[in-house]
Amino acid sequence: MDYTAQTNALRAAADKLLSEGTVDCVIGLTPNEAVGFPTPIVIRNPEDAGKLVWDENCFTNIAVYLLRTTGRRAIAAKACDVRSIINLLAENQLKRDEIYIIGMQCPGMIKDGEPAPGCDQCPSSVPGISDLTIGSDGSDTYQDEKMEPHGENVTEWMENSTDAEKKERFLKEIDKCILCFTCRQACPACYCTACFIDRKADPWRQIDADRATKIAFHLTRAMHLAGRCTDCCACEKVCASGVNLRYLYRGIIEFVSDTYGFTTGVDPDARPVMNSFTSEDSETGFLGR
Amino acid sequence: MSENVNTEWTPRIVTFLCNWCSYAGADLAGTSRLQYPPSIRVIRVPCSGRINPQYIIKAIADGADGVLVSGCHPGDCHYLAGNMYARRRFAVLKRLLTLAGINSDRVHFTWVSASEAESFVRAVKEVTEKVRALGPNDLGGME
Ligand code: SF4
Ligand code: SF4
Ligand code: FES
Repeated sequence: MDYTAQTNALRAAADKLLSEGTVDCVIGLTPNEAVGFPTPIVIRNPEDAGKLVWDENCFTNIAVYLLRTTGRRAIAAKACDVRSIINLLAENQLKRDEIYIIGMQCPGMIKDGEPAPGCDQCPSSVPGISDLTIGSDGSDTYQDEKMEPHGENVTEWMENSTDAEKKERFLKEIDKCILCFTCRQACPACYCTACFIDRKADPWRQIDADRATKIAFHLTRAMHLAGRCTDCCACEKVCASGVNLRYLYRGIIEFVSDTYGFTTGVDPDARPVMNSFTSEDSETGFLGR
Repeated sequence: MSENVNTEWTPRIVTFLCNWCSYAGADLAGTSRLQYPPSIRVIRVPCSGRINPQYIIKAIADGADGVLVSGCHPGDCHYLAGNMYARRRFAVLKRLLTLAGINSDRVHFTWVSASEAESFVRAVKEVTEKVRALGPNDLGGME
């Protein structure tokens, strides 16, 4: 792959889109020495195209910024950003004709010198939908690059672990959490204007810095993301306390796929899986079944 | 966990019942003088589809020993499809709780109609026995 060529192609595309007035802004990433990896930027002038960058540390999912900007927006999106975008389209949170997707081929990103969270399970180096393609050699065609998902099979782990082992893993992560909610802020599927955890007016949703609140926050969030999480791992990447609950989300992804045959982030026209039903839906685990 | 379980211990089972069927079924069990263990604490809801999964999570996180949810049979929901959405939600929730180490025998879902007092009693007995076998829920509440 050639990150310099990809960066140049991205800058040229941004310059053209803004100069010709095709879009009002371009969402991308820019070098940030203070944090040590590129961070999000929204550019509105063609002169700023040079601020955009594409390198091996571009692991941040920027799809969430489509929800915080208006007008016609271009976005430099890799495969996982596009999965998030497809979910947002399926949930009617974005209009397809307002979004211009610059598809960036991505061979897997690096964070802190190691493969970034999520890249181990990535099904494809190529974004699912795009309006412009920038292949890994900087050309306008995607190169033939195979991805081999090799991450943990959570269902298998679940079946082979005792309740005590599962509880230990869960509580070990829960106890690290400081309830800062950065994971929610970074998540492209957590776009509620009034998140349940902020609704302190409801007395039964009491928020304390205790274990019960942390359990309630994380399990409820996992429920809200069922059938909507695309395994981009934005939450894990931003957590300053190193909380790693990705396996819960993956476990649900596997369950939803096995039970309802649904994969999130593939079809922008699909009806969200938790917003549909069939008369034959599984009742495994129900009483007397 | 299992040492301090004795047969006298009665678990506390938070029970969500749909107003239109299961709640009436429970009522019928009462007026028919059917006996069942005093383990359930009933919360009446308008429909199984009204049960926010957070209610169940909150009950478990705050230390309830078990949860029982019962609504109208599929096809009989008074709001047409509330229980159909609930069915998927409950299936996913159960998997999520299992992943987190909460034994799947603590959380139960079933369908009971207004005339099925006997199946309501059977469900309460079965769930009480299952939760009693697991012993108290030591997950939440405590630091
Ligand atoms: S970012 Fe980490 S510490 Fe903050 S709420 Fe999320 S899991 Fe907890
Ligand atoms: S945790 Fe749930 S309520 Fe909060 S922002 Fe995410 S989806 Fe919305
Ligand atoms: S009205 Fe009983 S489940 Fe909907």
